[in-house]
Amino acid sequence: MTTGSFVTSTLRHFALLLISAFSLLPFAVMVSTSIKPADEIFSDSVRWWPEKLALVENYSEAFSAAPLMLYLMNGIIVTVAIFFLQVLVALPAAYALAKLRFVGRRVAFGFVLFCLLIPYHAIAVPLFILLYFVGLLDSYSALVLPFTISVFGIFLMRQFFMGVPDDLVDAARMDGMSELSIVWRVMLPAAIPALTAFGVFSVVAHWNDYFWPLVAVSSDSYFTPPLGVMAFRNAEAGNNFGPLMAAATIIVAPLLALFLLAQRRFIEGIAFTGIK
Amino acid sequence: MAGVNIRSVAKTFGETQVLKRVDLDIRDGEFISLVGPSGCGKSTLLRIVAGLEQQTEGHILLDGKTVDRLRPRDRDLAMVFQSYALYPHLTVAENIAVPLTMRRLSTLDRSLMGGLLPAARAKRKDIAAEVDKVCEALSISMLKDRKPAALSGGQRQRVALARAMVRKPSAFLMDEPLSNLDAKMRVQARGEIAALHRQLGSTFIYVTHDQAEAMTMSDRIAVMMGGEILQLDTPDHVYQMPQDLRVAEFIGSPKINVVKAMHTKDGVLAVARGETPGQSIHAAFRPEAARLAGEAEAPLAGIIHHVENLGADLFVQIRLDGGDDLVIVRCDPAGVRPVIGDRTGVAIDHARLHAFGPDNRRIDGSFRLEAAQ
Amino acid sequence: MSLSASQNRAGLALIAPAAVLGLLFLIAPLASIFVLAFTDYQLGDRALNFIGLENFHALGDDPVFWRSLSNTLIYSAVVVPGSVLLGLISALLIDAGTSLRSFYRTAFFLPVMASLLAMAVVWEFMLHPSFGIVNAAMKALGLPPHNWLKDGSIALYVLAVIGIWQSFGFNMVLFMAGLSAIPRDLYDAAEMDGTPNAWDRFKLITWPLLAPVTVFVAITSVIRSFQVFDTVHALTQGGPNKATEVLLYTIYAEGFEFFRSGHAAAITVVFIMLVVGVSMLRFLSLKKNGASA
Repeated sequence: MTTGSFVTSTLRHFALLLISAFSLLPFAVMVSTSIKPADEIFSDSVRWWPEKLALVENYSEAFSAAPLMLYLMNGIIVTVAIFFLQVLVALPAAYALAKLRFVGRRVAFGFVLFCLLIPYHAIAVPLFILLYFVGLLDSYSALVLPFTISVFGIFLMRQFFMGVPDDLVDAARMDGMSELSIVWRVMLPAAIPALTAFGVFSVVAHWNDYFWPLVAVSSDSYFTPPLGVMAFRNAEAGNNFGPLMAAATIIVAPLLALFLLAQRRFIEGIAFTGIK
Repeated sequence: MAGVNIRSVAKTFGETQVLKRVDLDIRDGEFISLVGPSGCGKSTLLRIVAGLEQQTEGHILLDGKTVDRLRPRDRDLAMVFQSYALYPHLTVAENIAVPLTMRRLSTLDRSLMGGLLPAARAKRKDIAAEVDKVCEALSISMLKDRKPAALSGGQRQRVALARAMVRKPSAFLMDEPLSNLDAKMRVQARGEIAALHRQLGSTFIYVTHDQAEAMTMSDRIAVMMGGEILQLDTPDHVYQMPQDLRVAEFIGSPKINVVKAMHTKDGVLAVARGETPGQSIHAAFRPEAARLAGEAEAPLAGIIHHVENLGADLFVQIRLDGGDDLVIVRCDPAGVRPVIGDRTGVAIDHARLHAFGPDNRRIDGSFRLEAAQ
Repeated sequence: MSLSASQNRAGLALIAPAAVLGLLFLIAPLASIFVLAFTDYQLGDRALNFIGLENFHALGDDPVFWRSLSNTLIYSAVVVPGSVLLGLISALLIDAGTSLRSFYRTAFFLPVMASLLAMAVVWEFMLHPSFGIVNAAMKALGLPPHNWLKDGSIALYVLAVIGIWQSFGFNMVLFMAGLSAIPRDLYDAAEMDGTPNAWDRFKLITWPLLAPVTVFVAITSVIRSFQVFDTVHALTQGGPNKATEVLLYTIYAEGFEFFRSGHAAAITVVFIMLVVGVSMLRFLSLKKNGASA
């Protein structure tokens, strides 16, 4: 190593640590505050580790003040249901668009491309009216149904299926498989990497989504994690920051833990779905 | 113009030793090929000479001077890459000009301001003229305004060559420059590169895994395996006097025939069958050093397994008695056609019989091969 | 039955569920936006009453709408360059060395993964005028403290910083994917061709080869920034005094707080035009790159 490269490497780490401080600061504040007693939170001096640990107090208050476990459970139910139904609907459609010739294929794919452009926020008003008239507002159905159709999922899987050799499909037909069983027995196993990427995308998006749940449900038994945090904040209204930060920690923890366990998959998944 | 000296250069990546103290002296103006199977360290050695990789031990000398501490741009070498490494967003002419603009124009000259400086304009004109000359020499003038994506494989290869030539470097380094071409183009390009070498008179170091490329173009060949040079010699000598069994097996197509034998008495080898007591010797002969003969007069015998007719040559595969070993014999297609399934003997021209010891090294001396006892 | 006829039937059958759901949850709602925008529909009404362009005329005269539109564009004009540049710099710095790569990558990506709503609550606490860490830092540096979220002249920019914080890691990942697609041979060739320093190599290879990725990242960032909502709803409710009113928030307030669906639909039409317009740019840039490659 020459001195030149030592200097460059030091500068690189210095700049990167600076950016890391920016990106990690809110997490540090959140966790640090969540274990502080109130008097230390309101004191003038900045201290990362409290003099008197209030971990148990804050977290137990967070759990007792709001049904956080219920919110987390709702988050799991909703994201899993959405992803499962999205795959169920998108995979056959993607296969048809990639490998079958049928009347209207070009039109169908055109619709997929067109709908990719529209953020769901834009159709929230009519969706809300629709659910109002069929009486499904404020239910799990309201949280899940609108997302069962994922044009992004169809598009992503279709692009992936285009790369699967036709020979593989023909071989499956020679073996006597129906088109539907080709989807589940041949294409699905081949598509695991793309499906993982889509799964990451879908779960992250819907676990963190705030706009639609805010619109679609009002009773707190259907609250998803972000709604739960808001409800908690509004209920506590005042300055009960210790338990509030504990609640925020509890809400972001599951996804972040998953992410830290499988970072590579997450980052690849997001990069893969980002470059669409 | 420069000779290149490689002095006990070693390279380790973590635990694995890629090069084991390699010595190689390349004369000024020589065309030398580094040939060997993939993973033998030949590309690493070339990249160390280029300065793209740092050796763990040893020295590189260019023109008698150590260059270990010099960056690639200061070594005055040019390299042609296997993937050609053309800049996809630049035209052919711009690609070829890069080595010149990077060396001759200052940062200021190259900036937007540069267009206003008369000196920079004059330099750019010179560069354009030199690019034209090189393009003409390689007959790619009509491609000058195209982007690399619009070129065929052969055209890209010429552009890469032109980019290397334009600077008149003291030596050319080539890393498998023909392996992305189809077989027909490759034969043509071999001739062109060899002609280019004669015309420029520069030192060429040429890395390839294709022994035919090495044989047809080089002054000398360095056969590398497992991070060392097994033999450094002219193509003729490497072919006719291989110093190592692995060299003998790597060079030549079809592959040299190898049979296990025992040393009986002075200069006589007996074909060994099955498990051999003590240490065995490898007797090796090329397909053209053997002929089909009557079983009585031949040391080897077996059943004709397959006949490959290549038009000019006929290669006969014979499955030897007492095992699954195949030997290949070259015959004249004009002669009697051997029939698959027939028995035949294989006679050997003993002047062209090689013997290799258990350590794979050549055993000097003249030998005869006799039938199993 | 011929092969093509059976394929036709299979194709239609396989796409049917997606087609039905797409019609119900995407196409029909989208179409009704363009119908509702010309009515004075309010949630619960049983019939539609067409009023022509009245909603749009009203928008033209509505200072809140114009404020909302310009705030959205200002927010975007800060967040897009900020998050693209920080993402690019992060990717280049990480790629420039071998040590601690995955630590930095993880650290920068964490905000992308975390629920923005939960983190907005944390930011609110950090920006608290009396005991937030930001004002404590200002005090330590001898600078005057601010009431960050209640000061109409800066609140929008504070939200933009949170927007940059949340999204630059996403851009970094896209840039890193773009960087890894540049063949290493090119850098070796540039080295042999005599590029004097890293900046010249960046100008010769990295920047031009990264250009398509940069265009893509920038356009994606624009579209994402148009959709800012969570931080506004959680932290400022569009205030103080409409200083942080943005399009999606206005749509939300009109559509779901006042239930003036027709009015909300008219704003949505503007929102859709913006997003689709920018998406068209992306489509064009992809097409251009596709044609030259």
